[in-house]
Amino acid sequence: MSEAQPMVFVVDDDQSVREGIASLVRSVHLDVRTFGSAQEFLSARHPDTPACLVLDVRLPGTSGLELQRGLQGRGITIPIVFLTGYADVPMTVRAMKDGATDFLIKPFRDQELLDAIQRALERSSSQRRQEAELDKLRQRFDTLTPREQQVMGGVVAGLPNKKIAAELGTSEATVKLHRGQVMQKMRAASLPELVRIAERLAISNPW
Amino acid sequence: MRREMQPRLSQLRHYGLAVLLVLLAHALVLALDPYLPYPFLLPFFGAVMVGGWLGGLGPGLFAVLLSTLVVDYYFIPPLHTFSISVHDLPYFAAFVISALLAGWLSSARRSAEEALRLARDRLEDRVMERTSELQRTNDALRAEISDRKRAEDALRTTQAELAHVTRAMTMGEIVASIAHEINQPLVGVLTNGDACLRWLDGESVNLDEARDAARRIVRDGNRAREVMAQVRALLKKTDPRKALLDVHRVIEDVLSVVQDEVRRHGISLRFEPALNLPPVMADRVQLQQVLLNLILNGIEAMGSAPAQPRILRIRTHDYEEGEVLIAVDDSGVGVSSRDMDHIFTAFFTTKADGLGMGLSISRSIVEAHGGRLWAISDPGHGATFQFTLPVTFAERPREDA
Repeated sequence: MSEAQPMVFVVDDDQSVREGIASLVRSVHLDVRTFGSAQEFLSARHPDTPACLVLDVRLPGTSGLELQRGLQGRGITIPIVFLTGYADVPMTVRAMKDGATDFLIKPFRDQELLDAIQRALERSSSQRRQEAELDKLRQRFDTLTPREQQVMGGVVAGLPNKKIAAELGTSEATVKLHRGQVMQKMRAASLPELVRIAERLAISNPW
Repeated sequence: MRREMQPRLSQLRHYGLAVLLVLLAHALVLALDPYLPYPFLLPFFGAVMVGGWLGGLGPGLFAVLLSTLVVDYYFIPPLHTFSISVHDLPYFAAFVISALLAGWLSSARRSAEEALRLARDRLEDRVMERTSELQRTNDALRAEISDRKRAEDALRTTQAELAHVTRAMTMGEIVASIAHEINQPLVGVLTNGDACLRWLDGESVNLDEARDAARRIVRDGNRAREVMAQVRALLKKTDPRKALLDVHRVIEDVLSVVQDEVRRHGISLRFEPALNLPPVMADRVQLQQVLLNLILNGIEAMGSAPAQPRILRIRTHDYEEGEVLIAVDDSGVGVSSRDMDHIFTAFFTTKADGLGMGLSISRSIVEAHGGRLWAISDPGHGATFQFTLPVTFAERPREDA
């Protein structure tokens, strides 16, 4: 897979910890960028690569948990490795529910952190792959004519051609023709595959 | 005052008395007249003097007047008239002057004595008054002293209670705070240390990266040192406030605080104070903390012991030269010889919810006072925790005075 170089973001208010983590990450040949606060991280431009966020829970100003929610609110799905001086159970549970991949207690072992970063980056890659696929499917769907999109909706809803023809006020042969076009344009080999694609695109019966 | 209360009416009685006395004198003179060659007038002087003495100046002069009239009428020729011949005038005048002098002297003397007695009485009154005033002041003072004593007792008990409550709490808080402050640089040291090793090892050696990481390690080490300096400064600020203390009173204060716990655990408490124990120079609150810690440990040790007489004994002794010994004996589970090596180590505990700080801190406190704290145990049959404190012979005011 020809993927872009992954990026590790580190947000910690302690300069020494920030630089130490950055050094560790560089030692395993990963790109790293560090930030002293949540605001700094939010105002930075993020390259379009697989990435993960190593985030201190206790930050001055916007806390780590608040930043996590803020990112979700903007639809940014970056995997997060949390660092904390003292993990209490409710906080950990909340962070994990909101999609944190790991929760490390300071001081942590270097390998623990690098493993967690690795897991987070893999998750990021697979997320990106899924999104890329979805994008492709959307593009294909956009190549369908409005009539073809209507026919596809009827087909994935499990309606027979005759019924679809009646609904659209056209002939069964025309429907069959559209149907063939849909299968071809959406690159679906079978009806079940077309149904799965429709599910991912969240397409339902248009009527 | 009582004398001035007497009614003026009694003055009349004194004039009557003067008349009576003059009559008596006259009778006496008449009775003696047949036996003497000339009239014997001295009884009149007697009447005048007695009248003046008893009745004062007025009745005295009145007696003089009456005597003069009587003498003139009965004894100065021509008899039975009030007229006086020129020949008898000097004699008569001498009589009158003598009588006047006698009456005046007598009454003056009397009034002087009277005034003196009055003054004495007044003095007595005032002395009594002042005495009762002093008594009242004394009572008030005594009440005030006992109030103060009560307040002081209450204060000391409160201090002991405070020591009890804050013992676990402050210790936990201080430990948490220091742990956090030390943890930050520690994370930095470990992270950078790991990174440094990675840059030195393996196929991708990078000395610049390793050097940067090592620099950060040193920087974090210095941060940790600053934290330690602050902790030390904090400890200095809370240097013991030492004063000469009566150890027994401190023990009693602590015992009053743990009374409920002792009762609840069905423990019989015995306090065996030594006679004539010299005072020690110590910080009251810290001494309370040590005692409280040892006593509560003893109570807990007995709480988990199988059924046997639960006895907590606190003894004091005049120990070695210049030292007093305070011992807390319990009949609890005792300390195993394996644990004995660790019980004074910080964070070592045999209790489920113990911090492992009590004995460690107690030992530091005792040693800061120049004493020693150690334990003796008969596993299964109890333990004795005892400490010494040096006796100071410093000329300092006693706090418990």
